[in-house]
Amino acid sequence: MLEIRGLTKHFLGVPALKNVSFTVERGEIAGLIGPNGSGKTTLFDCVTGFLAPDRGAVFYREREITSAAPHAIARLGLARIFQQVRTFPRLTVIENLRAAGQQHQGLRLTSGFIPWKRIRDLDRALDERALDILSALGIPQVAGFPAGTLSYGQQKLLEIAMALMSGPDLLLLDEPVAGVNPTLIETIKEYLKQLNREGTTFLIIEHNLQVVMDLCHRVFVLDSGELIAQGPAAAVQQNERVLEAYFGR
Amino acid sequence: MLLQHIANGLIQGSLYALVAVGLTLVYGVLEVVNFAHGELYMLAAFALYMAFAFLKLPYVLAVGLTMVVMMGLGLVLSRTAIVPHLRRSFETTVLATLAASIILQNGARFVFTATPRQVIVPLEDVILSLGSVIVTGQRLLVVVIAALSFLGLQLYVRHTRMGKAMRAVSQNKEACRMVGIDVRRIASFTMILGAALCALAGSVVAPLYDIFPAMGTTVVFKSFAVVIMGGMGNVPGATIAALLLGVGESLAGGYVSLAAKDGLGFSLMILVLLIRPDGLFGRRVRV
Amino acid sequence: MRMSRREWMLVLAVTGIALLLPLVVRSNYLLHIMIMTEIYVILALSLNLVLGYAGLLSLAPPAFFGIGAYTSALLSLRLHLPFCSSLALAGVAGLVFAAAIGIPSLRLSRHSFVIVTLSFTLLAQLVATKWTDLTRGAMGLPGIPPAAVLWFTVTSKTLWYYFLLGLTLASLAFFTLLVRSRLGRAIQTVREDEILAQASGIDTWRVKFYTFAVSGLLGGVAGSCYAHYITFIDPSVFDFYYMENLLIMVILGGSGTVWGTVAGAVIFNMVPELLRIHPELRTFLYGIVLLVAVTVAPEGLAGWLRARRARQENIVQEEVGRA
Repeated sequence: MLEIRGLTKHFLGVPALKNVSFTVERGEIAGLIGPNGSGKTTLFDCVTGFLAPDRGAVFYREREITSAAPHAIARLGLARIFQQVRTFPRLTVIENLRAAGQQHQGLRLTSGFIPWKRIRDLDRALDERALDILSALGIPQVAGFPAGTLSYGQQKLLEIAMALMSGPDLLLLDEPVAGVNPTLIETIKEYLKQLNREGTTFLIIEHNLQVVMDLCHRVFVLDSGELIAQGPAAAVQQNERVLEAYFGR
Repeated sequence: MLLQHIANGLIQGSLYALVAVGLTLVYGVLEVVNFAHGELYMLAAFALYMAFAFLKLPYVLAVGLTMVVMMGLGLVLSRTAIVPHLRRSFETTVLATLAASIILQNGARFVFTATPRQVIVPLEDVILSLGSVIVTGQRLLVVVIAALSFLGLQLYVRHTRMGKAMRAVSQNKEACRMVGIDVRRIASFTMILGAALCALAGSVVAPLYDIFPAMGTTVVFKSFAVVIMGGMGNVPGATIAALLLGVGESLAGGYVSLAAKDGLGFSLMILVLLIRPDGLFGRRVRV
Repeated sequence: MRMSRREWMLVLAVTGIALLLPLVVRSNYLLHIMIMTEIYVILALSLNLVLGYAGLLSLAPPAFFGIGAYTSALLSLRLHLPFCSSLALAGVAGLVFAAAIGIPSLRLSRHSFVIVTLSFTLLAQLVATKWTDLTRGAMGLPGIPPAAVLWFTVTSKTLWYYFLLGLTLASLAFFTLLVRSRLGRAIQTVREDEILAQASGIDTWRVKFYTFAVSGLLGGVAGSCYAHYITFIDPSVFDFYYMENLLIMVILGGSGTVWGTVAGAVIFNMVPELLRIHPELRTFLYGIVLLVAVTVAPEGLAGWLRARRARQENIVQEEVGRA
């Protein structure tokens, strides 16, 4: 589903990604792990169009998206969540969700100016979807509050909800449970598994190796910009190079 | 004739450089566009005028006094409009410096009225002929001061502790805070340095043109163009861009039309932004 | 439009007062102030859209204002076009110039954007002063024909007041529809977090472009009204003085809200005029007020109210329970 070929990226002469290649298959939950600074977020940035790689290519469902703009990539069904929590703080939660979902209803930006019936219907559908997702995540009560007033955990859930508004086929998650309390981690994990059963593919960056082992079918390991291992989670856990990368010799 | 145009252009370009370097320096280190920069230049010219008209000081002393006064003003400006907003959004600092510019310009208008003033200096009467080119002493002084300032700045930034601190702040403010570098002190110092450069510019140019409260606006227009063309934060880039603009304007004025001369700065700026948005020489701070 | 009942009542009340005002106010001077306030409302909407909703600091409103004024004046004087056409074309001119400047500058960093818009305003003033063949330079354009709408000519101040009231209300309606639509929502996402907006599928460059174009349209319309009302314009119509007033109105009134713009325009134009504060002193005071406001309350009155409400909601949230 997602194919990365020979991705290379330098920042001011310092290599962040060195010829990284791997494929994420449809329907799987894949993990991307590695010590800090190994290039994981940079990889996400290159895949989602926020950075242009120096060399290499990215293919999504056989289509090359290497030089596509971020919003175009999002509209193809590839959604992304960021490492630091991002919301639209001054907008209410429901507005956040509407904003995240409206582009995917096939309605151009400039229409919807005057609320004809068709637009009102689409807006209603948007709102229903938003409340459904909020309920599934257990936070329907925050709908009317400005996103900036939510607690950290709630904001993380909102982030996930926003990414889901577009009904993505592939979801890139950058540390989805970082700094989140254990109960909430379980909620999120269950929800992701549920979505996966329903057909969504995932690529997850995580430092919490427990979560990775529990969730991911396959894992890719980056160290200093290089792909040093890939395979089923359990196998990778035993891999010597991986242990070396994390813990040193 | 051509050589004369080029010489005039270099002189004008040196003036632009003196003003633009301060602006780009502040941006490079603090990521702040100081919209009151033109007013600093204007006030420097007025300070010189006052030193001449009321204190009857000789030129060199007048310039010295102007520099001291302007550096003090730079400190005040940084404390009121820059330092409180270092951690805030870019728009906030722009509005703060814009407000400062409004206060300073209208204050000057109120105190000095819009009547243009003049300053007469000894070097005005000195005329030098270098081949087919004629320059007055004062104009040559502009070039000399600009060159010395530039060299001085480069030496300072490269070889002193403060210079290194400035470069550190320009790269990563948060990291500096974490290792104990007082970012606010360095911010103030950078502003003072920028104000000193304005003071030099104002003092050296004041005898050449009329002095009036709105004179900062036209100069700042050109300075912005130069800063963008050279790459924001790039001091050598700004210097070269300034000289290029000066010469370009001179040639345009001589061979095309006066209108072309005025519009050249803006047109070049837009052109550079379209083709190389980071400036001709790149945005990376090379202080 | 999703407006609550309370909002409709407020709108009706304010409109009612505005309609009845000239019956109570007889002095020509006061009428003049109210007319200028109406023009300022339209101009403030132009700035608020870009600054308050999209979060972009544009220093171009005076440029669009002046371009609208000169376009309308020249069309009426030289080509003898009727007022309504001149007004419409002035708006179009504003829009076109905004689009032209927007294309190179909206791709840039916010820093460069501010500088380019400022430079554009300064350049516009320079062109108006130097291109004497077209604009008569500093001598200005006198004798601009008064506005003629349908069958009557707007001559008295009272008629001007009502005409502009209609135009202002229309602008406000248009503005409100815009900011409460999908596009309006997208515009605000650009202000809140542009990267997240892009990742959510929003073409932020296009959104910024539309925003800037509409602000040019509004500015041009305001400029045209000004030209035909005052019947004389010169390059001072591009003065930064207007920008200073607008910044105060939008920022202190409350950027990002419709009511804030109206309140800001009314308060910050009427009060200094009524107090007969000298324009230079007014600008000087505004500079100080702006500096203080930016330091203490960056989001103006409306923002402060919003923050208060958010804090109260936070307390409510504690009781509702957390995830």
